[in-house]
Amino acid sequence: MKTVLCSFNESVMAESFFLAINLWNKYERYLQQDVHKVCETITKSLQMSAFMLEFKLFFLSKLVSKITYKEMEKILHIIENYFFQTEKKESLLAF
Amino acid sequence: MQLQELLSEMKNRYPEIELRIKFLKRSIIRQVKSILENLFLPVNITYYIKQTDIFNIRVIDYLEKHDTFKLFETKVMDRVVREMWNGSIDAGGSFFALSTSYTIMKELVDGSKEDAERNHRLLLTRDLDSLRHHTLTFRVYLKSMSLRYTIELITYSILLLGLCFNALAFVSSYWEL
Repeated sequence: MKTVLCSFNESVMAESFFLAINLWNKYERYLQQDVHKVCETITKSLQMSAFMLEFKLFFLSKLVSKITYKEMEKILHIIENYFFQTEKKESLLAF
Repeated sequence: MQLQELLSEMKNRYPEIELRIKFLKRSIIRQVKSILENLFLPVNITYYIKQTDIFNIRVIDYLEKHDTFKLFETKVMDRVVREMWNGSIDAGGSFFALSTSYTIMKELVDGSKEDAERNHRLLLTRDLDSLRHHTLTFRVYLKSMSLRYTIELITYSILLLGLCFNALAFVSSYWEL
């Protein structure tokens, strides 16, 4: 289980999302057990860039029923940053 | 749309952030609208709007679901909607054909449709000889409330008479002693 979690986290951080989605499809049950670590990784990658945003949002929508209020605050803060910072407005096209 | 879905799910999970989500959604819509208005080549957008997802739901349906009608005020969306409105099938008929009451009246006046009420039921005279009592009439009578009340009245009056008789017998026996 640890190996699955590590490889999922690494694939997300390396932004190879096709590998990540394959891992998710196969080991969703195990990954759902360690929601907070998975959520932290996805939040980090979301903070880094809006690349392949649909995948990140997909993972988040799967986890949203189990995350804590603090984690959700963090995600909301990042999304708000995307929308309210004038420098990042180009990335809006990705949405 | 995925982002809108995510925000809605978040709102369902923690209802206390409703106002924040509402504000964020409004700002997203405003910014997307400004992007749509300033597009130079909107061909890609028209292509994306006509797409359906893996659940066979159209983008237009998602826009309607998340109440993003402000986006329809842009030129691109207007063109797409007009295209959909025109359609590829010719619809015949007149303007009045949209009205149901007009259609019913027209069919009755033409005689193209039979008036069921006139020919079959209410306006016809009834033959009372052909009417017979229902087979379960006796059962209905058994279960009727008036019969129940009558039976109850008889039972209670018998009980009352019995009690009176007992009381009289007791009193008379006391006086005898």
